[in-house]
Amino acid sequence: MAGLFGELAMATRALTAQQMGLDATGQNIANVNTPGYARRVVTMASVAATSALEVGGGVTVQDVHAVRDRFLEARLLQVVPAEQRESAMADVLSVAETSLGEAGSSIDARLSELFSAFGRLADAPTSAVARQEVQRAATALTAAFGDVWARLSDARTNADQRVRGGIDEVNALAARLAEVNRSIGSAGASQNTMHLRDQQASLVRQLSELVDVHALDRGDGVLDITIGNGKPLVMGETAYAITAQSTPPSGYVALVSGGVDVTSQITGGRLGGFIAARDVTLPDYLSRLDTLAAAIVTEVNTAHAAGFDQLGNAGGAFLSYSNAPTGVAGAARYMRLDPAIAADGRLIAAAGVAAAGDNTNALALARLGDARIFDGNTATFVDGWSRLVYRVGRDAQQAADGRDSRADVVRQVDALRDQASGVSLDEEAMMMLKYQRAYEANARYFRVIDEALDELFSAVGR
Amino acid sequence: MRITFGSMYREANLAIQETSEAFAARQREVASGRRIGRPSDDPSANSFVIVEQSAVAQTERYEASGNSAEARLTVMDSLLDDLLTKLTAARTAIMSARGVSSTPSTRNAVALELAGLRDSVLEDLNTSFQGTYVFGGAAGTTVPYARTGGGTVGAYAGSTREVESEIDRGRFVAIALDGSAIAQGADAQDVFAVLNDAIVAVQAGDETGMSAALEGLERAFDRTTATQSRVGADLRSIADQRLRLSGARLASQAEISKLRDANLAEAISGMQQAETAHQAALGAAGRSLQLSLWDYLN
Repeated sequence: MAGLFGELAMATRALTAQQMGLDATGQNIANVNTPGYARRVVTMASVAATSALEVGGGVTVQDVHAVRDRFLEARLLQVVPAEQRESAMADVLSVAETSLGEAGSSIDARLSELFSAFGRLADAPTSAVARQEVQRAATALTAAFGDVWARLSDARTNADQRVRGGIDEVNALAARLAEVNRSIGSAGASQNTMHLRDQQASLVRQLSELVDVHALDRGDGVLDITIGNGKPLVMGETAYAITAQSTPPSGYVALVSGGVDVTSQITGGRLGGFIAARDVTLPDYLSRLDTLAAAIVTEVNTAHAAGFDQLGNAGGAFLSYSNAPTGVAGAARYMRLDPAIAADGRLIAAAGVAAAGDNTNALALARLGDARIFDGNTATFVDGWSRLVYRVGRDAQQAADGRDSRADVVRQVDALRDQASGVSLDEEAMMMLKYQRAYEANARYFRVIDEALDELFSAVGR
Repeated sequence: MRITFGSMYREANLAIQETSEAFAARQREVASGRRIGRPSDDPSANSFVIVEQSAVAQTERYEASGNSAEARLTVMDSLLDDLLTKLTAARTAIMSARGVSSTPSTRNAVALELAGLRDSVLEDLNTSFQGTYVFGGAAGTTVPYARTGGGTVGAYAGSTREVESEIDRGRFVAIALDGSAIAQGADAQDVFAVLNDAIVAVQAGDETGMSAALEGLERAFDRTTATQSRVGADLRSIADQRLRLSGARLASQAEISKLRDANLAEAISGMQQAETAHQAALGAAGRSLQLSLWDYLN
């Protein structure tokens, strides 16, 4: 038998245990909205009897732990970067597709206007008004190409700025993770590091939204984080900052880690999405736009040179470039109505022979509008434009679909994680009741023992 | 399965966002009347709309060319009609000057009439429309037949190259004719020389000369008739093309509308459905997030 003093001690231990249960409940309720928080669970165990004639020693708190599912947290590191990449790509492409303008009011309409203007010139080859209309339509077409080029380039520059901003965020998160690692590593075995683990989980999650990371637990709770093809970002207490380096001639930022350019290795997270949009997707659109512009310049100039202007001279260049493109790169940006034509509409070579009233070349120029002379003679110029618009629209649609489907996966994994680690307020209300009632009962028991001791002391005192 | 506050909040928030987006999308559709607002709404339909709009623009260009050519050909037809009248009048006048009954005074009168008719023919062949000579060919602004004085007319200064307008893909009509093909053709001299010779022959009572002039005018008449027939055929062709082009344009516009425009009845019904779904999501969130055991604890 433990005796009344033993029972008093047992009641005290029980009160302490139930109080810890209440503490855990309070902690859980307080952190119901804290990112990365894993609910705390108090594990109690009965205290064994010390002899065969004892019932037992009551209860003791065996363990207080945070409920975490390492598998689900690792899974989140796989699915979150993919979702964020698609999300970033969808953001950029959403801007890119609006850059192209609405069907019927963009380059397609300007192309139709130019070839219609050539058609009207063919109807009235000596008309100064018809020549002015050709000048106006050609200027509008080159301006439309320049505008679309500028808007796509702006989208690219915007993506680059997002990459720059992302690098700062990654470095800040890496520094905080290294700090948390240091605190976890320096904590003794008896110290509670659960709050640090919560912070760590939240920071890794934030990091995985920016880049695809690989996390390796050293076993003591300290995480090593690598990015790309194993480049260290956080090794224990040390954060290896990524350096942003501007690369000529574009000035776009490259991610440098330990002196090595790792830009192409970043394929996930928002940074991965912005880098892919900046370095692959948008340049592809710009290149296609340049190819179309260069083909228009070449074909229109070839047809124009075959004719004669109103002064009886052989046709010169109808379109030219304000700056010479490199290959086709820059053709859309620099194409313009040739300054000589812009200054004197009579230089438009509408005639097929040196006769002012002839219109055969204007007809030939008008016919370019529906000639399949683009993309290996498979498409008209408008077809070429519609193919570009289709590609951008399809990519934007696929990115949005990809974002939505991957967001579903993330949501499901988050829900599974929540099932294990999340705080249920209803559950906590019940737990609170459970510990409250247990505390009340133990307190009552304590009072009974106390009264019994009181009785005993009174009897002895008599 | 544990349902946590966080997951309930997340699901409710997502449902509200999704139904709100769907409602906004339907609202846009109803307000704009268009199913496609951006390429990603339906990439292939949007691409087709671009191509089809270009086809409409092309059709409109051909229609405009047809209208312009029609105006010009109508003027041409009227001039050729007038030319035929003048040539007929000249022949009639010459015939009236033939025979033993004609006197010098009547022949002088006929000669004056012929001179007037020659000037009228010259005016017809030198007519310009919208800045270019109808019978000057590709020369455009050069007077086809210049008066050189003394009643004589210079050689044809226009171009023998005709100007054509494309009124449909591969379908051309002439909008500026070679005047010399009407006035002279394969003859040794043009109709003005024939009329001048006729005046001399009439004044002299030269039967042989008058016969030669009549033959020359006969051939000019034939050439004019042939040209007028061609102009008439082109005018009919324009009318036919207009019908075809109008049909093609309407078909393209209908196709564009089918692909791009919203079915308003369906869009409004969809908007109502989306609104109901949004209200349901809001209601569900409001109810489920309010339910708590805490409300039952004293």
